[in-house]
Amino acid sequence: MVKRIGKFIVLLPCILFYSLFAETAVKIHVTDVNGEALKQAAMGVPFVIEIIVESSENITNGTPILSGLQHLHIENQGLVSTISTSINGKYSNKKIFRYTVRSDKKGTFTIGPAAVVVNGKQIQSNSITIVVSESQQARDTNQTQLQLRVEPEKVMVGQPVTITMKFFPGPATQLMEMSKPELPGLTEPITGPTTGSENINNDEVPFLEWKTSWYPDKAGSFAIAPIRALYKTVKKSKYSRFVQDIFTMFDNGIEQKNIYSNNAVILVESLPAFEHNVKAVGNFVSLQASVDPFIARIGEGIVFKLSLVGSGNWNSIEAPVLLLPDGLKYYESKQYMNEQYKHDSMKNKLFEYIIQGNKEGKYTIASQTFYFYDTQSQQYKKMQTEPITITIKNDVSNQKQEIAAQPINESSKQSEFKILEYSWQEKKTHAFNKFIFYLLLLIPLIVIGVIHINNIFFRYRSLHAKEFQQKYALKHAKSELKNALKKNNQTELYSLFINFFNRKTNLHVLNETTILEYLKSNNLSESELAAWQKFFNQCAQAAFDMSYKNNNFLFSEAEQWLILFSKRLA
Amino acid sequence: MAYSFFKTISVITYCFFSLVYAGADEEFFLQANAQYQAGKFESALKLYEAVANKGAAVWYNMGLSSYHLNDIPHALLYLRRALSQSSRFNYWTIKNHLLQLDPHQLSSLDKLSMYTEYSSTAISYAWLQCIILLFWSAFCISLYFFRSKKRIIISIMIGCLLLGAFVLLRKQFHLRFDKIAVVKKADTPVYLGPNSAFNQTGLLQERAIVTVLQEGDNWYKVRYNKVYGWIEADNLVI
Repeated sequence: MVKRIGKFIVLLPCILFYSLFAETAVKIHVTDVNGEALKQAAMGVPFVIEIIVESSENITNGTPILSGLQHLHIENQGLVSTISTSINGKYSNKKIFRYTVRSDKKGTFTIGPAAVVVNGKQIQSNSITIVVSESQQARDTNQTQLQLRVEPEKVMVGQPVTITMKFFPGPATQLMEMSKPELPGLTEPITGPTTGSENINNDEVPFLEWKTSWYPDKAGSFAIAPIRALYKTVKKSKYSRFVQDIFTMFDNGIEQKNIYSNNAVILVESLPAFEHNVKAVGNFVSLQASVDPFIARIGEGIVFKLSLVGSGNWNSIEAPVLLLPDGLKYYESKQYMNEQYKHDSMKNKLFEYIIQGNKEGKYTIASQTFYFYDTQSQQYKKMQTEPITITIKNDVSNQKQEIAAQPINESSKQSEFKILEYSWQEKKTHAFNKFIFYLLLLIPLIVIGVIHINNIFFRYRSLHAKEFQQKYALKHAKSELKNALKKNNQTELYSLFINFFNRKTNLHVLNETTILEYLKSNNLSESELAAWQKFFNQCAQAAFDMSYKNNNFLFSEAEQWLILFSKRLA
Repeated sequence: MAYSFFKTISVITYCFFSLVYAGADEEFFLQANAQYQAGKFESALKLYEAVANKGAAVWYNMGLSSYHLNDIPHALLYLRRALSQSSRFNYWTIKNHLLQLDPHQLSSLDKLSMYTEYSSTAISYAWLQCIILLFWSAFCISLYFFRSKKRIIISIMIGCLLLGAFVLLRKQFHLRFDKIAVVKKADTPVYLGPNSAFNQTGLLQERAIVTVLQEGDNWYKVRYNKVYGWIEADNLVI
């Protein structure tokens, strides 16, 4: 009993002390934008500091003074709720002040204490330390994430930067809204979303992707604040699935959440020094000039077009200044992107000018020059058009242009354009086939070629007649023998052998003796020579002796002699 | 005997049906002319289209009808086809109207080209081929058989005639056999290949008459002056 009384005595002052102190209390909480407690924030991502002031007395004074905010960027602040209750005549007041802040630098920040003045007394809260890191925590494949990526991070002025926003939805998540990246001069439309998936920890995580391009027009460091996405998701619940389903029936199972991406920094360097003022940066492949019409009257407009093709900072590219000869003046008409041009990475911009001539004559519009900084080779380049000649006339000879320009009423049209009433049937075109035509063209060449080759051959033969005679002597002799045999005319055998030796030898005098000597010189034996003499005499008799009777063996002997000569004579 | 009989019957049948066919064409042509005179260009155009063997007059009148209907690309196409069927009697009539609709002015070189084109219509294509064969044979013979100064003079003379005949043949070939199309949209891009992923080689203006060199899947390879490339079919009247 004594112990109990003792404990009460100890407890009572504590309760009294607590109740006195608890009369006015100030607390600080740090949460993320979704209300979840936060110890570590990401650079550029907003978080919420909540100051709760509770007092049994009437809190009339204004907002609390919170120290440690000087390093943070305040996006929003103010009193968000005031609750006053009275239980058994005892009043209780509660005020919640909320600051939405962000840090654009990484580091450790101490927030607090918050000081509130109640009834002349200053009451201070606790302090909270928060760590601001460069990026958010490592991505979990089951967690909703928003990613902001710039590529490249370091560029020259005018060079395009691709900004990619990726939303990785978690399970049972529906994207409702997404903010746009904020950058000075970001006018290009955002394309998307396109779907895709990324391999994270050996898991294919689906994402939605948006893209845009930014063409910086000045040097410096540009930070893109984290973008925000608002999405719906199923509330995490400690209740069983059955209870969750019941809550869902009352739309209590769904909650809306905000998520912020990382921030991004782009370093933009100025272009290298150059003699001309160059604003075009990119990869340009062609510059063409065209005029329409080529001939015009004084004061009449000629449309001059410059067509530029490539990829680059189109919005910054101004219409080039035209270099025109004296007697011509121009003014810029319009400039527009050619919608007809279809290319995956390149575009076509047209700069239209109206040129007017104030003097009659022929004018050559000189080459127009376009300078740009080529991002691929990282150097300045120039492109030039071809010169174009136009004619300015004083008369009304340009009838064509008039007709093209002036609306013609139907009646005048009809009287002007009379129809043709003849030659209405198709004219058949007769022609040689192409192949045959070329073949026919070759015929004269072939004929002349044949004649020419023949001439060459005859010329050669006449130059080498003796050699040919010697070479073909035996052949001729055999041919003559064949003819003689056909006619059964032994009288021809004598002339046959005379001709043969005439062709074969270089003898100036040809008779029985000279032939014999020739044969002797060719190593014919005595018996062979004797036989030859006998045979040749028979041939001579057959030729000159009318009383000679045909010897049936003379032809075969002649043949044998020719065979022998073919082997033995050189 | 049977063969000769069959041959005769075939020839008679062919002549008969040809005449009937030609008669129908003429009927369409005359009716179309009447519709045109009455200012009913749409029905005139339909009737002209019904003519099977369209000659210069049919194409020309179709061109005029399209012009009255403010369909300039088709008018240009029809007039150009009329030109391909033209003779020296109607060449200038067609050419003048074609020039009036063509937005591109003629340079002096084009004028020379136009006169050679006109001259080529005076002689038929087959005759030009024969003339070339003849001159070519004469040129070869003169080069081969004549000697010294005579050869030079005769060869140059025949060579010039041969060259002239070749120019006329070439002109007539393009006039008769080139497949042509008309650009119907302004600033039509010309690509290196049959796909917009290829680089652009040039821009063609509305009403430009191009020569079709090759057909791809919904794309046409065309030539226009010195510009060669591919154009999407949607941008052409063909």
